[in-house]
Amino acid sequence: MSNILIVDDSMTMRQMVNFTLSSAGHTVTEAGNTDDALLNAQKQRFDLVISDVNMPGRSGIELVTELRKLADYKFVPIILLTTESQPEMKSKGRAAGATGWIVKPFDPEALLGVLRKVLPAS
Amino acid sequence: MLDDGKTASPLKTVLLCAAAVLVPWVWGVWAMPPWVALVSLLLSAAAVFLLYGLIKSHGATIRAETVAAQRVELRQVDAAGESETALRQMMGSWLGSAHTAGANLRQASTLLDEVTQQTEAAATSIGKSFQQVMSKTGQQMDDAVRLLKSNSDGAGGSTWLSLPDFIKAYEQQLDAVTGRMMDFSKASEEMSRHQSVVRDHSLAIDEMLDELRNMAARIRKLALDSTVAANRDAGSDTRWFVEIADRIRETSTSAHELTRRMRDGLEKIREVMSGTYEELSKSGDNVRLAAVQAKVDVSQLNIATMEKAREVTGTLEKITDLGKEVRRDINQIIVAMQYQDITQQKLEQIKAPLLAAAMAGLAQCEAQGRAAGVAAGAAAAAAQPARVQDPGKSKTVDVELF
Repeated sequence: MSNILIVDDSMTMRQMVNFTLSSAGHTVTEAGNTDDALLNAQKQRFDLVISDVNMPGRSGIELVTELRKLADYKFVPIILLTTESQPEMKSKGRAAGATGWIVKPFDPEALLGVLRKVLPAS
Repeated sequence: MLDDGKTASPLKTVLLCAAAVLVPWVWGVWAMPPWVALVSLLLSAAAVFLLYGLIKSHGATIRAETVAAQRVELRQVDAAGESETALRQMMGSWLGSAHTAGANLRQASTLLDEVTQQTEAAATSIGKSFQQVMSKTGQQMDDAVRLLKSNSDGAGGSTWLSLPDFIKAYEQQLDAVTGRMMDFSKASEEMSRHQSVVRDHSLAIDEMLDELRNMAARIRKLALDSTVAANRDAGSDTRWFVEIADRIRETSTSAHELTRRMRDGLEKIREVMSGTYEELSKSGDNVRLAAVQAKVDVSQLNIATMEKAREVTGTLEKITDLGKEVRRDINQIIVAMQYQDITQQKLEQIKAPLLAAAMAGLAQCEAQGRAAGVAAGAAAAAAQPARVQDPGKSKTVDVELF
């Protein structure tokens, strides 16, 4: 199973994603903002990062940009999970290097399906 | 004449009228006869008085209209003053309402934050409890399903069997036990056959002993005959022969005694063997019957157990299906709980600009109020809730007017 980092300023949302992924057997680490996420990412290597876009401080798109600068995260899948659905925002995420874009509310089965697609087969 | 709104004096009016009549009279008096001049003079004087009267009455009318107009103007000034006072009061009330609205808006914003925090805390608490319950439920299901599954990896060295496998192994064990009991029964039967052979052999020994006893009798008779022959041949040296005969007799007696004791012993052995045979045969029969009965019972037990195992399997399948349904419900709950977060984000997006716009409007109201000269005290007083007398009750009630 995979080691996954969740980044969201909402504890409720982190819990929901954590529960969904833990139930599928993944190991989950939570971060409440971009800075904590970057610290965690530098401490250990995650197989996947799921991040919100609109957060206090630096946004999720900035997090993607910063992660892509790290050598360990050049090819790690990064999924943006957000309420935003505007095409221009999606374009910004794609330009920053995000792997996927999921609009909240997410369906747990759909989220796990996306993970199966982007995570390397173990 | 009355452009300035004032009335001319009576003397000036008379002089003007006289001038208007007499100037043509003076101009034409030289050319007219005297009586015409006198009559025209009288008519001119009359005309002057008549004209004076008309002008005088018209002036009174104009003065009355002027006074009335002045009164109207004064009333309009009073009304304008009253309107200005009312407008000031209204602006004071408006400013006070703006203050109240701003305070209420700030309070609403604080309450909104509190509601958001409480909702998030509640959702977090529900989520944690939900996660714990689901973890326990999942563990129970895993334990239940593990009953039907064998430990196939065997990595820890300790393997356990599934329930059907356990039943099969149990049946194999019982078959083995039954088989061993059947073997025991066969062995006891074999032993019985051996005992029969031994008994036959003992009978043969008996016959041999009888033969030995006959031989002993014949030896004793031979010894007696030897003694008689020796006595008959007295005088000759036959003592050695007598001694031999005595020894033969003694030997024969001992042999006889020995065969008797052997017979007794063999008789006892035969009796014991016979009793053992009967008991062993009886025990073998019992064991065989018990084994057959045990096999039948175990078969019935196995059938019942297998049936029970099928029921357990069905129940576990139902539990598994129920678990899948619960999982679907959980997914729906997860989706529903996300709306709390989405609502919160939307409210955050709305709250800041809304509050900023409201505060800007409030500042503008305050600025306009200050420009209009509305005192802050008056505004604050105007912002106080009006106390309205309820005609139906003796006491007053608070009504906030926004």
